[in-house]
Amino acid sequence: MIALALPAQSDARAPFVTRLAATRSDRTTDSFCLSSSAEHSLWCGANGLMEIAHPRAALLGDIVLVDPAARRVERLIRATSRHNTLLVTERCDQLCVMCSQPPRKTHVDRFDLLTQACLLAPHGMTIGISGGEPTLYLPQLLALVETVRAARDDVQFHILSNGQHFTQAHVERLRSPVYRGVTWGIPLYAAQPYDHDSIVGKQGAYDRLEQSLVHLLRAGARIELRTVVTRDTLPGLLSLARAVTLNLAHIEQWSIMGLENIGFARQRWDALQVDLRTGFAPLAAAIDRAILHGVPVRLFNMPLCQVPPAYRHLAVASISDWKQRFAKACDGCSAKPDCSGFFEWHPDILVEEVTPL
Amino acid sequence: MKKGRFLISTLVMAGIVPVSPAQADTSGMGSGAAPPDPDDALVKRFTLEHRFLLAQHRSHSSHSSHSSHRSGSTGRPRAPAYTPPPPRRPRATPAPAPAPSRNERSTPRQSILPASPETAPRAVAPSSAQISSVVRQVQIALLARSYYRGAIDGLVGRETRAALTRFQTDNGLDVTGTITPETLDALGIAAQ
Repeated sequence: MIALALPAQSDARAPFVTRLAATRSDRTTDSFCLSSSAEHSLWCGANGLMEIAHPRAALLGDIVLVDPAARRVERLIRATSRHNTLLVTERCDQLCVMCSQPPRKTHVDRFDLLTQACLLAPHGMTIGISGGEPTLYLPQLLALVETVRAARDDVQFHILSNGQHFTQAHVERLRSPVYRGVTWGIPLYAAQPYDHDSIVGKQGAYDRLEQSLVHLLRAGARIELRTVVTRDTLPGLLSLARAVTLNLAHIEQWSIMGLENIGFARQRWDALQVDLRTGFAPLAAAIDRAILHGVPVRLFNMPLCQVPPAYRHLAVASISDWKQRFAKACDGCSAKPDCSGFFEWHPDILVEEVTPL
Repeated sequence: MKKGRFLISTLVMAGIVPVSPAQADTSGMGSGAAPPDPDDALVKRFTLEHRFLLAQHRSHSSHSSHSSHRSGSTGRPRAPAYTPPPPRRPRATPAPAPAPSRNERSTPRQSILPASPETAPRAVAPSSAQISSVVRQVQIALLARSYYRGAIDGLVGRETRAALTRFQTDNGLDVTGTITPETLDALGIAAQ
């Protein structure tokens, strides 16, 4: 597990964003290292001094948010990682039964700082944006995307959203070339409104999502649909595949995802968890249907050895590096480099149920 | 008679004559029409779905802008731009994680990404040896230049800040009230 937030001290008065650079330069956005031990490193930049409870080498190139009052540093963008996700709010207007990041009522507006961080991102990086529900702050969110993409068209965004807040008024704006670099990852759990609504904990969510999808499609937005496989969603997957191929054939990808044992799903694990090795059939039928109709499917968070051979080429190593974990037996597996592995918080007993390939 | 039928279906195909419900019902199954050729029915079922798809898509004009938009930007109409590279190709492995993969805590955190500052639990303060040593050097240097009269305590308090601000103002540095690289240079404190 890679720590994303580190204890730190700083003499700055307010939170700021800086890049931890290898060498000193005139760039006011950079900080450089004054000294480092095995456990601490001391950095200095235009915003002042900071000491981070982490050695220099592991931090080089990272773009961090320093919060002097909270005495901590958040590694917003790690230079060596492909998995960087910014949390823009912890508020959400849905309450999904398997939510991995349960919402909170508080919101701290950090869009300015996050924009600065994105502007410093390494070349060609894709930055994830998550929450909470990012589109609760749609004006700020779109401003961030537009500011960053106008200055850095090499940077792409992948934004997770429940799709409850797009309106006709956004269509024209989202047609801007700026949004060619933006993919919207939108959860859809069932083809029946009632089923989807009960999973996301909000009545009318399905109908509102349908409206948003129309607006997004009219804007030519890039859409990734995401469906988490649980005992609730598994029986309806084929019907969902039918709906997707009929009505949403222009999405960029349908991501079918394994469950994450954290947040709300942790308390409901036994009621939600599907054993892929015995329960794959409905999933296979849904995948076949989607592929037959030319909708690209990918399987996320599913270890390769638990996916039937015919479908393994669809499974991607999706779990972010900082929360990825493997069983001991995985060391002898030839497919390990291509495998998602498990989440750090996956139940220990289940992690060991692997079959090296 | 035969000519008439031919004419009508041509008009229907051209979209000029509205399709009657009997004709529109191409699902084949259970409709009162003569038993259709199974292949024909299958073709019609697919046709039906296709038409349904366009209707659900709602705006045909957006449809074209949609596709041109995408192919214009990437040249690959359906290339999943967000997805990690296709499986089976060796993945560009990120830098090796320092502590590979095992978390010994019995209870995982309740959420994944760091919580926002207001709700974050107070982090344990790191040993402040490094930062306070530099702050002490700065305080001594400011004291020597008569900008500072407070304690050499290694803490950036109000007095240290005020002294830094005055020193930066007098020396034409960016006035931040914090210890910047230029301030260290001007005070003759070497960066190690």
